[in-house]
Parts: sequence; structure tokens; C-alpha cells
Amino acid sequence: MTTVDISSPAVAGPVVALTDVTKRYRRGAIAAVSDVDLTVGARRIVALVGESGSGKSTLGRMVVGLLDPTSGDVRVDAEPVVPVKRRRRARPRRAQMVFQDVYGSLNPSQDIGRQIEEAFLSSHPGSSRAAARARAAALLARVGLDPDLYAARRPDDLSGGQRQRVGIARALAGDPSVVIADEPISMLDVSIRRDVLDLLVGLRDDEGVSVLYITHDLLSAGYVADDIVVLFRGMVVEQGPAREVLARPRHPYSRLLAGSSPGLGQEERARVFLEAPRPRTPWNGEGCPFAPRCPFAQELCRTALPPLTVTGRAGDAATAAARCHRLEELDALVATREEEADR
Amino acid sequence: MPRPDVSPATPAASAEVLRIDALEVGYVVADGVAPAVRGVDLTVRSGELVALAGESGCGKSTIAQSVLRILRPPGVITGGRILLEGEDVLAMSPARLRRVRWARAAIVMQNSLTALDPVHRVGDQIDEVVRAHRRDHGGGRHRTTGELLEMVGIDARRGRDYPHELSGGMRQRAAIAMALALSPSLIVMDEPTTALDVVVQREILAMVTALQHELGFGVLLISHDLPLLTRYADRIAVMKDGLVVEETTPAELAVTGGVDSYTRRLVASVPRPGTWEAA
Repeated sequence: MTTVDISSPAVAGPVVALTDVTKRYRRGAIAAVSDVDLTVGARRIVALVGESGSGKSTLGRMVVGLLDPTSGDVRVDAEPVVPVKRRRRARPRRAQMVFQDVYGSLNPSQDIGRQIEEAFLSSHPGSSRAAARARAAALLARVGLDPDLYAARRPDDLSGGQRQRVGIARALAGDPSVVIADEPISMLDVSIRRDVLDLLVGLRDDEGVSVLYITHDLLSAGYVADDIVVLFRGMVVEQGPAREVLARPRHPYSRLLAGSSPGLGQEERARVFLEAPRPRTPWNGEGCPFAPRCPFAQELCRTALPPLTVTGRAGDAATAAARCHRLEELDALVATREEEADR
Repeated sequence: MPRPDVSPATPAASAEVLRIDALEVGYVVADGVAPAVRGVDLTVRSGELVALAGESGCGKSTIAQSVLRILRPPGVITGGRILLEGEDVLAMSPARLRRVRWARAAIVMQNSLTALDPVHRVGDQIDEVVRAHRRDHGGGRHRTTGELLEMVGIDARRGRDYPHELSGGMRQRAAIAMALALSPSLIVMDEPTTALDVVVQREILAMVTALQHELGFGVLLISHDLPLLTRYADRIAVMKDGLVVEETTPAELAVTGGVDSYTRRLVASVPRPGTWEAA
């Protein structure tokens, strides 16, 4: 999963490249997204994992141009992303969004075939209606909906899972290099979630589309993603190949997250973090954002922001890295604390 | 799966707090009643956490609303019995029902923002549950609001906050504090952690099982989240199309992967790391 497909055409650079991106909302004392560097390579699925308020959706919205960064550089296919509100004319959008709320993101009064056609026409100005209709039919078939049966239906006649498939088909109509999927399965019934995730994997494998998968669920991230990026309070606290982050989370917050995910079997290893009390006062913006919740925080953690330190081999597709002052000693600290607790 | 937070139920703690017999519930439609629950049996003993698992439309929330008779029209209970500590809920007078709600059985809903009144301070709302009950029914000493908030891990001073000033997890904790106010023997929880992220989900369910251990109330937990249930439930009833298709325990489920075909499908559909490579 983490190896690069050598049959794919040589690609010069990453599909998505964020450099030093910060987003401040007008009244926020603490940045929603803070100095984030992030790349999504060609034909890769990158999962952006974090709790609500971690900045993951804000990041996704900046990639498609729905939000403007306060500072920093957002590029898709090496081109700077132009915010939607400043776009003068229609043109193919290389980054397309699939939303969590499938109910709210489709037009209830228009049949779904037509909605996909419109998406195609807005990114392919000058194309004929017939071409759009043919493309919409092909896309419906691609996401597993027979166009003869479904093209004329309205969103109300579809199940949640079918609507999410339509959302994906509509995103594909713009011939994107990357699809941003923001919690695409969290409102769906469990038995169809996996199908939608499999569809995302299919986009990567068959269409060569990259996916930025935004979720709070480490389990599903481990299911689809090549790389995992863990966000906390708007900062990247850990990143690396999915397998590595899941099997051996390094940052205290990643350990807490893994321990909280039933099914990963990391509860025992994360006990120290799971049992740490919630802070009574929120983070004040100084030092490490996790320090108020960290059982191993010391003075340095409360005053200085730790750098993102490389933990894996340099030159990996997604260089494994974590942001913690006590990264090297952490395993020993955890072991000692557990021995004390057992005694 | 290990459940280190909870010790085996003591013999004294195994009284049946809820017994549902052959329950049938439907929704009135133009040409009759569309069945939503078609003959369900279920028991919850004190100290026990019983999960009702299933997907939207399976009838699990209808059962949750039937237990306390808060089911709204066009919903209608058409058959069966619901016994709360041996007393027939369906035979209770409206006055008796008001006395029983909160005091003997309480409910925690998925969206605590709608359950909590946005224009009143959280502490005042918990106070009101106690005060209203005492006014109507008299009654002894209850825990103070401060004690209740501290029990669910909220600083007592946050009682002065309005619901929108609390995080989603804190609001759900406050809703649980309110449910605990009159020391009920059963708490029904309808998707209590669905809208929350995993760290908070785990914290809240760990807290609930710890409180159960301390206070002995039974919990009927409605959820679609199988991995979470296998971690916290003592027993799991899987529902489909208004019927319980399988009743099992997390330990059994780990071995069998489900006996019923629908249970098996639910178990198999959980996206886990590495599963698609293996498939």
C-alpha cells in the first residue's frame, strides 16, 4: 500500500501541496490551522484525522478554494488555488469536494443526472448537452448506480449511501486530480460505509485520483489511507505511512486516539493517556497544544512549541514525523508509569 | 474483549429493571398501522449495559421511546408488555408516568443541544428536574447539582454556563448528570455518543460503566456503532426490520462473528485497518 505504483506515469510533484498554511478566523485567539505543511502525492489516499475543532475541515476547504488561508501557499497540481469567490470564469477545478451532509449538498428539486451534467458543463465550458449527458451516465455507472434507473431520480428517492455515490459522481464530473472527502461516511448506516470507502480506493486505483480523506475515525483511516496525518488544535502532531501510525503511534495524542478506537487493540498500551484527567482550563496558545492534557508535560512543553521531528527514514513517501519534546523518552516514560501503577 | 472497568455483577445487583415482552409498535398510516417493532423481547438487569444495535429504520429508537412512553403520534404501541422494576409501564396513568420518569427511568438523547434548554443555565435545568419532582411528589434528599456535575466529570462551576458554552461532550455529560438526578434504576441512551469524536465517545462510555458499577443502574444503549458496543456492552441485541435477529455477548461475537447473517454483515462491514487488503 505504501509503495509507489511504478506503472503510473511519472509525476513531477505532489497533487496537493500546502506550505506554511495558517488560517485565523476573525475573532479566534488561537489559529484554526497553524503553519501546516502537507502534501498529497499522485495516486495516494491521505487521511486527515482529528477531533472536532482540530482544523481538518478548514484545511479541506482551503484546498478546494472555499476558504482563503490567512497566510501560506495552497497549490493543486502546482497551481495556486484561486478562492471560489474570486474566480472570474468557469474552469476545471482540480480539487473537488465530497461533503458529509449528502442531504444538504444536493439540490432536492433537480434530478441527479442533471446535477452531474451541470457539474460537468461548469468545468467543461463549450461542451454539448449531449456530451454532458453521456458523461453523467458513465459517472453514475462508475459509482455503481445504473443510469437508466437512477439518472431521472431526485435525491429524495435515494438512500443516504446512494446520495453519497451521487456526490462522488458529481465530484468526478470536474475531472479532478484530487477529491476532498470530508467525513463522507459518518452520516451513513454502518453496513454501507465500507462500500463508499471501497469506492474511494477505486478512484485511486482505477482513475488515478488522489484522495484527501477527512475523518475523526482512525479505524476507517487505516482502512483506506496510504498515509495518515494527525491534527490537533490546528497543528500537525504526527504523520507517516498509515501502517506505521496505526501500529506504533508516537505522539501522545495519537496514542490517545488509537487507544480510544475500539478494534485497534491499543487500549492497554494507551492506558496512561486514557486515564489522564481532562484539563480544567483550555490551552492558552503557549507551548505544546497537548500539554494541558499530557501526563508527561513539563515546563518546556508549556512554554515552547515542539518542532515536527522526523521519526522515520528520510525520503519515505510520507516522512514519518511527530511534534513532541519528549519523543525519544516517551516509551520509557510510559513503561515506568505503568510499573508504578501496577505496584 | 476485555472490560477492565466493570466487575461481574454481584448476585444482589442482578434484579431485572426492565423487561420487554413481545413488544409491538407501529406507525399509523393512511390504510392502517405500519409495523416498526414486531414482537421484541429484551431484559436489562441492574448494573448491566444492554445494547440494541441496528441501522436506521430497524426500530431501535422506537423501542427507546416506547420504554418511557414518550413515543409521539403517529407512533402507537400495539401489543406486548413493558415492565419497569416489575410495574407495567403501559398500564400506568399519566400521573404515575410523570412520577416514574426521571425517578425510576431516565432517557439521554443523541442531541443534547435540543434536550437542554438553550436559554437556561445548565445547573438550573438540573435543579429544575429535582425541584419539579419534589414539588409534585415530595421525597427525600437528592444529590445537589454540583455533586451531579462533578460525578460526570464537569467542574461544578460550569453549572452557571449555558448549553452553547459547553462542548458537545460536556453537554452530553450534563444530560447524563440530569438523568442521574433522581437516582433512576434504568437509563435509556439513544445514540448518546454518535455525534462525538472517538476520544470523547470512549471517555463518556467508560464514565457511564464506572457510574453503573458504583450506583447499580441498568442501561439500555441504542447505537449503530458495533465496535464501540463490543467494548462496553454486557449483551448486544441486533435488530433488523423490527425484530431482534440475534442476542449475543461481545465475547461470543468475537468468536462467532455473528450467527445470524445480518449480524455477520454488520460485523464484516466495519472498516478496519488491513481488512481490504485481506479481502
